[in-house]
Amino acid sequence: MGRYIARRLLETIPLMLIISIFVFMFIHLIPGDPARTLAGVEATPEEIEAIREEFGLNDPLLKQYADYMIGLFKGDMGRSLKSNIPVTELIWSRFQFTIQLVCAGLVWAPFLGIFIGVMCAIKRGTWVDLGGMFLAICGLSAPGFWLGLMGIQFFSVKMGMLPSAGLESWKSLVLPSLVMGTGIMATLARYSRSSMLETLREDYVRTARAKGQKESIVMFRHAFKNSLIQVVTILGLQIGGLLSGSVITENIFSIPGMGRLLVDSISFRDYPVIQGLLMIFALQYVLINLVVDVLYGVINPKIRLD
Amino acid sequence: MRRESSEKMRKKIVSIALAGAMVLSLAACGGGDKAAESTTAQAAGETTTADAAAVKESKAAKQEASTAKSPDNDIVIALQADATHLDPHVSSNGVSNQITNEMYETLLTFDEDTNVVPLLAKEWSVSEDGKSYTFVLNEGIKFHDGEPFNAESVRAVYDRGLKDSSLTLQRTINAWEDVVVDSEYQVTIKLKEPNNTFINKITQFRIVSPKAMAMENASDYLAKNSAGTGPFVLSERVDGGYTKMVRNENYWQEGPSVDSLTFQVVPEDAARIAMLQTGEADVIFPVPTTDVSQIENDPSIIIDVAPATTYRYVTLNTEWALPDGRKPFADKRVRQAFNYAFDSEAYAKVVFNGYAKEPTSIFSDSIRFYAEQTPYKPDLEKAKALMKEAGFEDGFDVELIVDNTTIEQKGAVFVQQQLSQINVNVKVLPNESTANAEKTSAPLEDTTVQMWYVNWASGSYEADGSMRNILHGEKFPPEGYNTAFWNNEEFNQLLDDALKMTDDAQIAEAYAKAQAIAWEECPWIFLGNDNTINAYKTYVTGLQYKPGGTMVFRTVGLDHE
Repeated sequence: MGRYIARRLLETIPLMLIISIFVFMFIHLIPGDPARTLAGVEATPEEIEAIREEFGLNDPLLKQYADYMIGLFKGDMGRSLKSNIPVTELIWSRFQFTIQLVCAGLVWAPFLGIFIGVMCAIKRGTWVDLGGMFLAICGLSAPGFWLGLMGIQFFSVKMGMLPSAGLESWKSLVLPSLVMGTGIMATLARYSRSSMLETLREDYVRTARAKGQKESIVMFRHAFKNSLIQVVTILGLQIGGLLSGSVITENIFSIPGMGRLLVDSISFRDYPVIQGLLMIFALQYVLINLVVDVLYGVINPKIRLD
Repeated sequence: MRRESSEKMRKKIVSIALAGAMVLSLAACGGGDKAAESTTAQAAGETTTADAAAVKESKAAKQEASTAKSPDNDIVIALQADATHLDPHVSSNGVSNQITNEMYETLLTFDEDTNVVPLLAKEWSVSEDGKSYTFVLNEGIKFHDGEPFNAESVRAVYDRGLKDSSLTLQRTINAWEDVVVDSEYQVTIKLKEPNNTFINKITQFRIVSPKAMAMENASDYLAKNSAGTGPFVLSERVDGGYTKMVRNENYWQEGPSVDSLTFQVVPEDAARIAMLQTGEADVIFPVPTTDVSQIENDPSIIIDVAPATTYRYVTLNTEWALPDGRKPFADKRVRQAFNYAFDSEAYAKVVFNGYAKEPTSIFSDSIRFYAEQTPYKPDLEKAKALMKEAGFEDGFDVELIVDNTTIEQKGAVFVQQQLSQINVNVKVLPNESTANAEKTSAPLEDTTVQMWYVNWASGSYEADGSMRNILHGEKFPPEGYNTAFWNNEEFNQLLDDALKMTDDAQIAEAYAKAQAIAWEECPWIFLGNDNTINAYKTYVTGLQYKPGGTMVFRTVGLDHE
């Protein structure tokens, strides 16, 4: 297991290298000039030129890339063109906000989602199934920004129970958690239902029943545990999506997280920050996939990691 | 296991593709903050005088009637966007100035009515030849870091500008010859030649402690510490989150009574409004025109509509040629026809819910030396006749580029609809502001701009700044933003002459002539000025304004429990 993980981590290095090239190319393909954005509309061409020179934007792309990579290997992701804050420091400060949101979404959504899905599968065709799937469809269809704004209107403006912006106490996390979690809850409910239904049709479930085992043991030891394999894969992807895709929640609730940083940096063409964020998002997908693969082995020891 | 690993590979490829797609897709939709990032933050409008009086009266009545009290003595202002940088010599846009102006002061400043008034300088005088300005400074003022404010510190700011050409401070000082320290509290600024915009531009010359500027990484220091003379001292900042300041206990004149002032970044319009309703924010800016009705009946909220300085227009590239070689916008009749086809009153209603004003010149009437012109009243018959005369009876296809924010696109579609009445088929091309900035800064030989839906506000509220960069013949991109590529010798000359004049009457005459020429020549479709609207709780006191709706919190207070 240890060797497997070490090998996978080593594989990450060439992968990240390839990603870095792609990301660098993509960023510089977008039209727009950070120097012009920083200088503002009343700037003279000389001013813009001076800023460009200072940022090293006049160097050939290859040199800019090489400089960036050399810095990266020394652990230096450069500085934000906009605020001149070191990128690592900037991303770290934003990460702390985003991770709170992600955790707030994850404390309830996967559990509720899996619970609903499993219950629906067990009670397939009954009103429980219908109600659960209706809830899932609603959760999937409700756009995050709508849900957030409705939550603000009701819980903050009308009832005065919860704050509408910022992250100051646990109360501030309630509404964002709702927005962050709803989609995951709904997605997982649907996946775990179909996955559970699939395993319920497996031979080993029939065998277990034929052995005369109690229905609850059949359901949870044989069916549920095996159905989790698919669910874990989906959950992994969803968590990856949460970290990089929390921009809507962050916008609505005025939280300075990584998603907003990415959008702001792109509209500013703050190259080092975009580059840093995308590298981190990519890395995070790679790591989550690794965790998912390791979890496969834990859930079903027959899946061997080597 | 083979199958497993190929699946993993697929996942990897998917993640790479996702990362790439994310850059591109976000690039396409990330222009949301533009309104506040650009000079639009200065956006404003003007109600008629009668309206303004009525508004003032109802404001006072509301304030008196309301018994609402603030729970604390800390004021929170929800803004749409964040400052780009807190070093006042690095950043320059409206929202950055809004925030840094509470910490940094200037020799002179503006009052609400675009008059220049003293601040750090108590008086000033101009030499006979208009080339040197002498300022007598207020005494006994200290910077936040304890350094004394004096003539030397004015000189030090100038020196910083000379040393680093990447600072936006550049544009304030580039017409200066020298800064001479006459005595401890008197300083003379010498100009290369007379310049009527000097006095307006000096209001952008922010004085920073010489000690802070002398540091090796001055900008980094100033990002985390304030070193001005202003009424508030920086206490903490989360980039993209909020900027908190506390009251400057050693402020040199009557200051604010609140304990602290926090600018919070709230990009979502509806969230800003909710924050004001719940009292989490005491002041919000801007209020989108479409949302005014939501809060105007709330007895604890006051809505302020500020006079306009942002002017909206569509540039018509006079050098642009159709596939058959004809240049439609080279013909004045076509350009005039566009203005006769455009109903600016309907534009104000449809796009800005009525919170806008029809154009009566080529810049806002709250700018000094504005001269009223006869409006192009919508007249389709005349427009069609002009098009026919010019040989474009059947119209033509043309592209209109615009920033991709909701309000800008709405305006561009309105233009499209109006011009369809004279058979002109407009294709609206929305894009991110940063991408548009690149397109519009391309020189004539490379330009792809046919029409550009845009707006302009002079940061220092002067006539020259309201025209030169966007209409002068020497300001074709990349030198400026004259994307009409309109080059009128007489107009250019008037602007150049006026700049060096010292007599106000003569200046006014020259600018009036220039405005009349551009108005008659129509290098643009004139759209109008929209209002800047902000809203605050009735318990907020002492709020002041600069032109264009920029709030000043120097004497702000809260009626609190």
